[in-house]
Amino acid sequence: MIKHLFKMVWNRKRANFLIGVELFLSFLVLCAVLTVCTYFLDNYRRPLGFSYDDVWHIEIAHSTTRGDEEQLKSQILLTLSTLDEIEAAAYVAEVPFGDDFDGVSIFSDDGKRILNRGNWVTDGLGKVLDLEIVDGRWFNREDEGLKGDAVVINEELAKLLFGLESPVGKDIRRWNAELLESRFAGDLAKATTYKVVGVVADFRGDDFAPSTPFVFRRVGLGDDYVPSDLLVRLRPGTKAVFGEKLLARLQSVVQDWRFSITPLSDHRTTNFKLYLSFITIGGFVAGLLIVMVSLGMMGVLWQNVTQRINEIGLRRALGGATRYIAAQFLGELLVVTTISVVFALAIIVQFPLNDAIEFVHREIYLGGIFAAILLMYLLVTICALYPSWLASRVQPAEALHHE
Amino acid sequence: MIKLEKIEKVYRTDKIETLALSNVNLEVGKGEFISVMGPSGSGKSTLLNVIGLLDAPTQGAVNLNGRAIDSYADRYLARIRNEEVGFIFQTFHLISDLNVVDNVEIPLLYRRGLSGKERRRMALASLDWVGLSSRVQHFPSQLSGGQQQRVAIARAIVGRPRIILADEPTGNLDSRMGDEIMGILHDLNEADTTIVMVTHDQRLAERTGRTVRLFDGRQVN
Amino acid sequence: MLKNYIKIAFKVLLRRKFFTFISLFGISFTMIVLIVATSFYDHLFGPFPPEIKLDRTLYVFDLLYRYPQGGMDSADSENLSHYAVERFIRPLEGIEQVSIFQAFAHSHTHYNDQGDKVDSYLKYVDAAFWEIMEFNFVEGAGFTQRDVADAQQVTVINAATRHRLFGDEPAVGRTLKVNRQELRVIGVVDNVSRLRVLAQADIWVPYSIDARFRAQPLRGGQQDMHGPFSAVILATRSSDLLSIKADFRQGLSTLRYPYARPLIIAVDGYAETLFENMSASLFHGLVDDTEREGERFPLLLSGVIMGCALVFMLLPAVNLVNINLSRIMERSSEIGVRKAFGASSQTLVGQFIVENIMLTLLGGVIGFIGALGVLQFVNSIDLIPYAQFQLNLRVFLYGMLMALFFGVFSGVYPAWRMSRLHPVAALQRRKK
Repeated sequence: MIKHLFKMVWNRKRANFLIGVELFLSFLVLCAVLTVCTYFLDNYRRPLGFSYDDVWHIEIAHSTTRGDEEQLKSQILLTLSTLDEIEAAAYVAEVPFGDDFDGVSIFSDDGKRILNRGNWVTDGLGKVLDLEIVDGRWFNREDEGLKGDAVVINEELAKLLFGLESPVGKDIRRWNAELLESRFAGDLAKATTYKVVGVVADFRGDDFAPSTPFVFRRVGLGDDYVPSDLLVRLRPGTKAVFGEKLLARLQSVVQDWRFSITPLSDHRTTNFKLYLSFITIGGFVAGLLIVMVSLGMMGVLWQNVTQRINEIGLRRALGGATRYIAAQFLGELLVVTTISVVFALAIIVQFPLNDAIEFVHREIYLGGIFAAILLMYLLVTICALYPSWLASRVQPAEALHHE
Repeated sequence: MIKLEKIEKVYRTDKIETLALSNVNLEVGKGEFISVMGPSGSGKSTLLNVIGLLDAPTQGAVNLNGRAIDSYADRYLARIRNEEVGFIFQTFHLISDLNVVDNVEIPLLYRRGLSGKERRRMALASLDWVGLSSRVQHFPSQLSGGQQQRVAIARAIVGRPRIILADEPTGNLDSRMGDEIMGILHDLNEADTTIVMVTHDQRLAERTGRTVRLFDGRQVN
Repeated sequence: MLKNYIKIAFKVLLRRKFFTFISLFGISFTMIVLIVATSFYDHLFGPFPPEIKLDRTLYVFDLLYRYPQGGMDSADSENLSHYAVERFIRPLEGIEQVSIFQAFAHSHTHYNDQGDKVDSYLKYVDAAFWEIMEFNFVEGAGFTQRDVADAQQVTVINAATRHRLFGDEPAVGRTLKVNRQELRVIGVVDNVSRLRVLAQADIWVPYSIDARFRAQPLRGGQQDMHGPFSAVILATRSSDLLSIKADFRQGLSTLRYPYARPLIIAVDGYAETLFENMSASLFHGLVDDTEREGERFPLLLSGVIMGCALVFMLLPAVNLVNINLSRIMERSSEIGVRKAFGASSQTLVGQFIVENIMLTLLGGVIGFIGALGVLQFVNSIDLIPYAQFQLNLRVFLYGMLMALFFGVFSGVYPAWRMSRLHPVAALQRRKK
């Protein structure tokens, strides 16, 4: 019977071609949409790795050349430590819930570049964001000697580079042979490495960010470059009005710098809203596309049935029960669908095979594709229901002597 | 073989009622070859439809092979049609998307318990019997009218039904092809198949066993 | 003749309501999405106040300090100093005006009289800024050369800020406290969409009033190219843009860079139109954008945009072709009869095209109305502050173009099939 279906479909390939193309495109759309959904859902369910309640972000705008920025930044930290309401403070290069976190350059022992995300931070961050240390320790004064080469990595990176061994105390390469050549003209004295001081459970920049290998680089207050964004943890129960006092205090330390305060939870809300709007719009458009395709398909199928009324009458006369007729029309459409899906998969499968998009794991693709296949067959079946039912209702006597 | 008792068939479309058959009584014995004649609109095709269980009579009883048709449930009828009856139409009704052997196989598809190989074997045997073994992979559009009707016959007999119902089988053919077809039908009849044929042609009817005449849905002599 | 076609088309479309409906649905939906997207694109790149003279405007956003190794991460980008602008931009030929400003506004927190925290975006600009950009002044005017030279403590605010600080009363002459300075409002402008990144802010302030931005003293005998500013250039004629771009790069190539920074081998810069600038920043980090030679990024962005549009249109277009084919096949017997009675293929195809165009036009109209609704909604929920998306003439024209494309594309193949329908085959199909 199935062979018969394939024969019918194949012999009517001209008629079925356009439908096949449409199904092909629709499936591509479905895969894309569902993979994105899977990606976001999967990311969302993971823990952030830090706590953002009672944390404020202070943005510092200062002039470009003064010479004593770093000193002043130390002073600010000192001032902050005198305030009761502040439990901890740290400078960060990237603020959570903000722009993407750029990674640092690291290579595995066999010269492969490891894609990652990272942040340059001072010692206080561990306490400010309440990071969970699972091995070793967070940065502290002892690391001054390492001069910016101290790093704390997350479990994923630890596993990637060191397997089951503890990475604490080990080195991570910053360059591979090629880069050493070009950047430092082969000067091996420059061949620096990072030293792992500790491991955190995980760190993700926002609710929808993927889990990636993550590197915290230590910034010492005496370093050449200290970031201009501050994160402070407030004592629980501190009122919002403390902001005014804080602002005044900061201003008094450095007259000509500009400070701006935002609770981290506000950043999170903005960031969340942004994602939500993209997802909503995208989902809406995709949904309507599918509806449009479904309606069109129903119309085409209906017309298909009308065209083949004679054939239907004949098959009934030859002993085909109504369920066979209905099944035949549905079956033909499913065959066309399967062929289209197979062609589409040939293209889609390139993505997971080549890890085409950063930080999207293979399982995500598989999940998305699987869901798309299910949904595809479901939709096609629904579209075919009414026309198939119509086909089965055809009266053979009328159909055969159709005048 | 076939027994029709007091058959009445009324067609209702919107507000118009047409009486297609009225008080038709017919008995066809095993191995008979009968013709049904009458002017256009006299209900000949309707009679064939009722015999072939394509249509249910509004009144009366139908009996096929000693079995009373007491239910008109679709699956039941479909099975009987599949196993007991073969149809031949004036316009052949071959499926243009399928080749000859696939067309002939169709009745067997709806029959349970047959493997693909068996179906193919039976279809080829059927085609051989009508003399078309050299054309099995052709498509209907590549065949002449006579050849197409022979395919239709092969299809009608592939499942070895005991009754063949032919509706103007030579209507679309010239006289030479028509004679060929009649020849095949008579051969079938000699092999003990019961045949009921609707025809316009007095000449063809004369060569059959007996003729039933209809006028305005009623039997006449 | 045409009237006849239209009358028949109308009847035909009504006869098969389901087909008509799904065709309309498909067209309108696609048009809505495309028109909204076009409106968005226009909002980002089209001439809107204050960037009205975009055809004569070039931005120099930053300078690139190159390392020897090439490829990604091989250059640092830094904004310009006063010196850099005066020495390398102002003397260029074909320039009407140059403005120095801080491209990115920063957020500024202050507390108003009620003690509420007010967050605004603050931007430092000069006097020429008001000449190159054409803001809609609701009250007053922008800074003059004098104001900037004398470091006058003045400010221009937008209508939203005026509303937050002073209600709906006139604001000129009143003061507000910014960074511990009392600034006098001398102008109020219409809100500028946050998406017009280079021009937008809530509060504009002369850069000279901030000690950090005054001209830097010489350092070790060298003037540094590196500063906090960006520049915007207004050319005298739009035809001069190419030569200005070339001259600028030429000028920079003569710079023998002082070795204040180790390893830097050259300083490079690009004077770019708004589109070029945004495409470069969009691809930053994704593609190697350090060599912004010629048209690569704008082309890439245009390509991506058109690619997306085409891909998006593909599915609805195929859908429409399918539906149209079905419509034709369904009427094949009618067509067969007409042909048998002497109707030429031309007449029939013409009839079909009229039907298709009517559908497309109707779908387009519904699309426009729908798009209008969507844009109203988006504007009302204030998705992006101060952004008012609109359907203007440009967007309308693009929309018509797209509807036309749809109509033609979805009609060509079915019409061709229709003209090839053999009357006998069609009639037989009916008779059976």
